Amino acid sequence: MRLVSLLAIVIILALIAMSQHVHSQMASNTTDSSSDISVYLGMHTINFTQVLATGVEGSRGSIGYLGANVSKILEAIKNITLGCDTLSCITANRTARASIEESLRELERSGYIDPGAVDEVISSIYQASMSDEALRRLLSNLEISQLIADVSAGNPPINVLGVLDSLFRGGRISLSEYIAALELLKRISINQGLQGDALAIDKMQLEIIRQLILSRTAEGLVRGLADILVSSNISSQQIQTGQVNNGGNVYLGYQPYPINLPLPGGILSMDQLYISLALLGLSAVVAIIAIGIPRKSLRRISIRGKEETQRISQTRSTGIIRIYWRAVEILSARVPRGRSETHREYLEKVRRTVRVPSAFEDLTEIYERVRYAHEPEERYYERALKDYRELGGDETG
Amino acid sequence: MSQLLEKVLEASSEVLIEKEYEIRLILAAILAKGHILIEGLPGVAKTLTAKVISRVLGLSFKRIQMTPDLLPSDIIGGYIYDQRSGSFVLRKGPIFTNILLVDEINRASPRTQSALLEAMQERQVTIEGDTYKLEEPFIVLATQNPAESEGVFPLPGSQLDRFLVKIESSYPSTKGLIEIVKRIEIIEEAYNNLKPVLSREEVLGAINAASRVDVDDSIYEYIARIIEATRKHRMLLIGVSPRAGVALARLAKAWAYLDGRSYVIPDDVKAVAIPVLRHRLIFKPEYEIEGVDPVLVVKEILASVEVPRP
Repeated sequence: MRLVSLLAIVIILALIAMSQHVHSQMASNTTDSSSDISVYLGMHTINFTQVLATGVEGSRGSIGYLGANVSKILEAIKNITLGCDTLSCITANRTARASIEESLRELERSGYIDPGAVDEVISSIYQASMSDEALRRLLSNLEISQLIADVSAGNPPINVLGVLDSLFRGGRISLSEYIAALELLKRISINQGLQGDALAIDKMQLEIIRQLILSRTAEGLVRGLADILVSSNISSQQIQTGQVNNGGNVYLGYQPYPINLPLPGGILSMDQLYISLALLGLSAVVAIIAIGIPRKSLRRISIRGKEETQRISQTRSTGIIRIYWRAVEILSARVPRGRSETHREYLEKVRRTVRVPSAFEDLTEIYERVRYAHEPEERYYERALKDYRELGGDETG
Repeated sequence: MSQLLEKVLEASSEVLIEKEYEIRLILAAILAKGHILIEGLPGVAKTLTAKVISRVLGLSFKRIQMTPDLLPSDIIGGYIYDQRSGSFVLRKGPIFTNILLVDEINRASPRTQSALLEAMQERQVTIEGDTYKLEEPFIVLATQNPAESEGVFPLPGSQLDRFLVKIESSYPSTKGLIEIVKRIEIIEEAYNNLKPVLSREEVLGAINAASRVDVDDSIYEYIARIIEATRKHRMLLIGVSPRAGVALARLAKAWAYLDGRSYVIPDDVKAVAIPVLRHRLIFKPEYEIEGVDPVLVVKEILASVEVPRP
């Protein structure tokens, strides 16, 4: 076992060394290494450099098609923000808007970005110039409308950004809805004098749009690479040698942190690509054997992980739920609660029977939001405790 | 209350008196992509309700008056010979619409009923071996008169199950009746001037949004307990099918959406349980003869099932 582990380490070290070698060559050959690309979404890691590096002459379905377009695509990617770091900057600048549209259309023509994504991005950019009412009409998701209403009622805008983000990541809202919601939050922030929050949201809007474009472009380029790899008419002579480039990894999944992706200045040979992939695969197999994790153990770990997540999730929401049921126990002495009565029905019954304190009304609403809408407990915990105390609850239990 | 419901209620309030609950239920059923059976005596505005709903929603609308001699091809259409072209051409039946009002469904022969109900389930029709998908949304609003007993073919339980909800359209209150009689000309004029408040695309968007309403697992468990309780009820011969459970969950989501929420609460399930379950209950013969009201049975079941606890 130790020998196998050693072998795995040796292979990994060899790979690192090879990577360093390529990197050093890249440093001397790259023509433009200043462009940073942030791409997000996901689990898969694909070497973007190798995708880009296949740019050589030819026709569609082979390396050449990609190569013929690569420079244009890279130019398009560079033009995405045109020096702006906020959405307001883009919308206020006609040249910037035109440049973005042109770049996106170029990506669309090249087949490396979905036309639907292009339209959605363009319409999202124009949302900054829409009226509040028009923006609200875009929000078909009730949860967002509720969040916006909460913010209008005084909840700091910055508090709801996480929820919005998770809705977008979870695919429950579209880019247009996300940007519209952020735009509304930005305007509310400005009205409330929270200039710092407004600026942060403004930057966030552009970053989301930018990341979406880049991720979609990356997917297109990866598809292009897949075409090339399956193409049978690739010969090593087609590939220019001696020009090596390097780059970062593109994550086809949500990744909020930027990853440096220098643009290619030369070409990586397909032989090198195949060798790298083969070595990588071999080292992965050896490493798994070396670590020797049986499948059962892996499954056990996975199940344990799930249970832990569930347990944490349950623990997170039990606080307020427990507070609510304790409050019900207190009130049950005067107004008994039936087992088939819902929380709203019980509140009505309490209202009819005794002069119900507003604290119980508030606590019932909080309970509903945490129990059924799965809103973060932290947002309401202090309020729920205060309501509970007003109802004569004892915190020690 | 959601903006959508507000808009529809506001637009229809001039024409439909004391029909808010029915409108909301029909709207919820449309958002849940379910078919609706309206039962009521003649003259209680069953047809008018259906026409108003389709008009304010901006959906296409067609009506079929069921009779015993109506054939399946009268509903779904068929190929007819065109003398000019010398070939058979497709003549689409009235089923090719968004909202189809089927008046007095229990007057049609079982053969025609089953052809219609099959199309309702599949949302597509087959004419001479060619399959045609029906445009979304496709909702059947069928009416039947409970007082009719001659020349009718009552829908069997398995076919009733295909209706998401059954709505009992009743007489208005005295106050409502006076208002109708007094304002009938205004009501008729208001109906003629009724304009759509939504487009078909907006309705489809709302259907999509309603389907994304969040349902906690405990709600699903609650629904399952209700369904299982129907199987244990002393008066019932057979409990309701899993399809009833699906219907309950779907309609509860739409109900929550119309209430302006993005999550379902047990109250939504309770609110829709009667219209979803009442036509699906099959009584033991002795209770059937006794004429037990299914609404009371559903209420009894709801009162016996525990709501989700922590």
